[in-house]
Amino acid sequence: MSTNSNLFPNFDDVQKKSQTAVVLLVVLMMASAAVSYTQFLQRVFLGWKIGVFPVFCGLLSLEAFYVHTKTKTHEPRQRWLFHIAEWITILVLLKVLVYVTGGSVSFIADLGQWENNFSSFFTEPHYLMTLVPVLGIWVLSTGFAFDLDRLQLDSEELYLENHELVERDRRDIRRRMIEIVMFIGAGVLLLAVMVRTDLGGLGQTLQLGAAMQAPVINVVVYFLLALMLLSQTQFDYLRGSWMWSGVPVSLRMGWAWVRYGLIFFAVVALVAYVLPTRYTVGFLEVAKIVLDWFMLVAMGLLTLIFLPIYKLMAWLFELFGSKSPVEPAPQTNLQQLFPPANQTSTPVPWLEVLKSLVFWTVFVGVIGYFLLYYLRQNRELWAKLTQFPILRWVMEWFTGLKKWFRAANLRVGEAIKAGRERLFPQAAARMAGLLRPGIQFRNLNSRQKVIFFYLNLVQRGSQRGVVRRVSQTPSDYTQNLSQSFPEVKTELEDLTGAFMEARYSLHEVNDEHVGWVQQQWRRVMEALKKIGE
Amino acid sequence: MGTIFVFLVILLIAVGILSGQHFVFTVLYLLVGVYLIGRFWSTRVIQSISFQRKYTHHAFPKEEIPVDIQLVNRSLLPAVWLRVQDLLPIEITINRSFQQALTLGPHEKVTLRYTLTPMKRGYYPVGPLQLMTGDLLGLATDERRELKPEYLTVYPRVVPLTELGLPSRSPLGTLKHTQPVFEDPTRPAGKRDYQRGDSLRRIDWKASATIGRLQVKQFEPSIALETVIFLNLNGEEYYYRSRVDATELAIVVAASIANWSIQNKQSAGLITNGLDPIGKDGLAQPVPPEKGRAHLMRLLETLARVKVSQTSRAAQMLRQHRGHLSWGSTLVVVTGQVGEDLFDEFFQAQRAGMSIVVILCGEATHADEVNRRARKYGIPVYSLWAETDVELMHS
Repeated sequence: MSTNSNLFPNFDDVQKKSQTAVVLLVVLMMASAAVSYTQFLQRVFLGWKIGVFPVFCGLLSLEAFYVHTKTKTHEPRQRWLFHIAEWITILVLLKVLVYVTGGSVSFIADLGQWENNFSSFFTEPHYLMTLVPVLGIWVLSTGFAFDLDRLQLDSEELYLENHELVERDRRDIRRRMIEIVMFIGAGVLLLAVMVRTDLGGLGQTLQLGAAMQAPVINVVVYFLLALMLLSQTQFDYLRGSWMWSGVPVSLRMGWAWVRYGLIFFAVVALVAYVLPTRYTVGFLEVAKIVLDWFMLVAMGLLTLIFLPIYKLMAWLFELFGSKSPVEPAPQTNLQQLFPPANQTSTPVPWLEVLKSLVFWTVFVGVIGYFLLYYLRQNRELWAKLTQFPILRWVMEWFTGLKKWFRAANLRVGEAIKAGRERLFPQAAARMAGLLRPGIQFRNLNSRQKVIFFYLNLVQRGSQRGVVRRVSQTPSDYTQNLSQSFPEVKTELEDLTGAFMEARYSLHEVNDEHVGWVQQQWRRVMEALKKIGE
Repeated sequence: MGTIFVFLVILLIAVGILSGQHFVFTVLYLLVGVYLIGRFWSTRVIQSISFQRKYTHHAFPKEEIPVDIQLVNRSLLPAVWLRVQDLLPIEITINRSFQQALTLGPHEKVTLRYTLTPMKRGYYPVGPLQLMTGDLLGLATDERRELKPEYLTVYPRVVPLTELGLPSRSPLGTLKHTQPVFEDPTRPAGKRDYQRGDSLRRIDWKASATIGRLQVKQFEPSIALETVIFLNLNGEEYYYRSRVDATELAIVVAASIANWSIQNKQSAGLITNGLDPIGKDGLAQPVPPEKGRAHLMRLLETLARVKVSQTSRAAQMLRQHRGHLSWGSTLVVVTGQVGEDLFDEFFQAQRAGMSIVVILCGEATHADEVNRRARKYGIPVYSLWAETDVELMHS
């Protein structure tokens, strides 16, 4: 006999483990999905061989989670720069991957081509076909990371939710995740089926190779992992709703969920494996005939509906002497989608040299800068790489360049900021966007958090009848508030001071300061609440 | 989740049929299996859990009452998550409910404990106790079971009365009395010299022979106090501003008087026009005068449950029940106001050989007029504003 009476005793521990488990599940799912895509590409391009593509996709998914964690507290501008750098790195790595698996001959051939037509860097069919799923996996993984962040709840966010500072509907978040997981699952399944099925006329049109007996274990694994992920998100959802309702949770529920979940899925997988599928062939054939008939009838009905309209339109166009717009669609060849091979022209020697010089400078400069930017954001990786002598030399060379870039960046940034403030004097009003529903407090940086607390104070003050007029400065408004709530006069002044410092100065705002501001804010909220009661 | 799940299942079936790929059916089995097995699991588990609530069903205000909820999983299947919620009225706990989310392994027994602290008298539901569980993926609807509410009776506060001094005309009781007319021959108090007029039956012949003078026995005067408490809970007969507090005070007074009477081995009864949630037609039933601790608990239980009504007036209640009371009974009328009609009833009760004591609770309008008329009838009147005043009641 035991007694459960602890309220969230191992919350942080469970939270971390749950998050790690979910990330691993998503990474494996993405890798499994990439296997199906790889098989499909192997059928489309008969010579296509990138066996490590699923591994690349898995790592990319992991990277997307990592980047989300790293950049969620960044300013939007910083975040965008980071993502640009990240994507240039990914594009280059993917290209390297394609060449490593395809051979260096094609690399040398393509090198000259980029000079004349840089767009061919992206539009090369093999590369493009690998880029599309990479982009998809990155977007989906980032989306998952964002949703998981919103689905999980920590004590700080619980406090903010209870005080109606942030709102989120976890049910909707989870539903969206389920839809995405199922949608990907459907795609994976269809790809696997297309790889193994003789598509007849469609296959010839798309110039596909013969049907392959490729392994399908990855499809089953994907669905198993997806179900595990959904189980884990259900736990997160329930835990969040229990926390929100103040329901104490048993100490051992986290582990019990994982343990019983694994048993459950093992049993289900065993049942699915044991259940026969082969003797149902007769049924399948009959069902296929029925379905074909059904399709035939449906097509017949559609023809009956649209034929008179088509005839009428054709007659009208003939009457007015025009050609009918309803023309049979021209047959498209997949290779026509990609740009033609480089055209020969009579080059001007010095111009060609100049063009080459500019191209390679910009190309290497951009890639180098963003690679550096990316590495700078990943300090641990950076520290390891700098242990290599060649890289150390490159780093020293880059240090000068970096300094120049930094100075230029600072000047440009300041100029943009000054210009923006001149153009948009209502910046403070825009800051109020921090209070919009769905904002993630923990994703704000320290400066934004301080501003957030003050804006919330203004909002709550208005709800209690002390409305801030447009003409009032923060100090004026604080005076007004202090008259209504004299017991927290000091806290109000501190809070206003902190806001003005964060909003109008370039002073550094650290986490300790945020904690102190939060304390003042809580005291003020308690005073406001008493009046409200 | 349902729609997308169904969509996927349909897609799997269609693709399986059209393509003839058997692995599609393995995936289909996987998805359908998760739903069916998950649903079977949660349904089975919730049916296998037995639960009961254990606690003391009677308490006094501010007394801490531990409540144990015992859950036993009689199945081999574990309950991965189980939410237990016991709904509680605010008068007996700070939180509106007791809640806990837990895991229950196969054949596991868990006892959850929480404490109730009732702040005022009443008859409160504890529960219903709700159990909720579901599958691991949230595919099926959550399963629920409910245990009907039980009740907690919170007695009214009892104020100890050192001496209440209620009048009685029933001789040969167990209480001392100042009037010698109520001397009790079973309570000898001493002897004195014979005086002219003393009854010969009171002469103590042995003592007279020893001393050589005639001695008569002296007895303690005593009374038998059969108290019937008339508790007026007609809200309209209390001053509107202090109606809630005054009626609660009236109940405390009634409980204290009943307790005092029973403690002094007297009989006490209760008649009230308040409402009783478990009484016949929702009305409190009269409790005839009796002695003993068990009877006191019965009185206190009735007083714990009664609620203010707007039905019959105090005079009507007195008129209705006066005829059933024995001669010499003391009627303790606890009310908020005394009107003309009630004085008429007092007069009739006095004529029937009963003693009347009036206790006014809360703010009373025309209090001076009531006192003046009561003096005229020889009826003692006590005015109480708070529970502490009860202790100050002296004759």
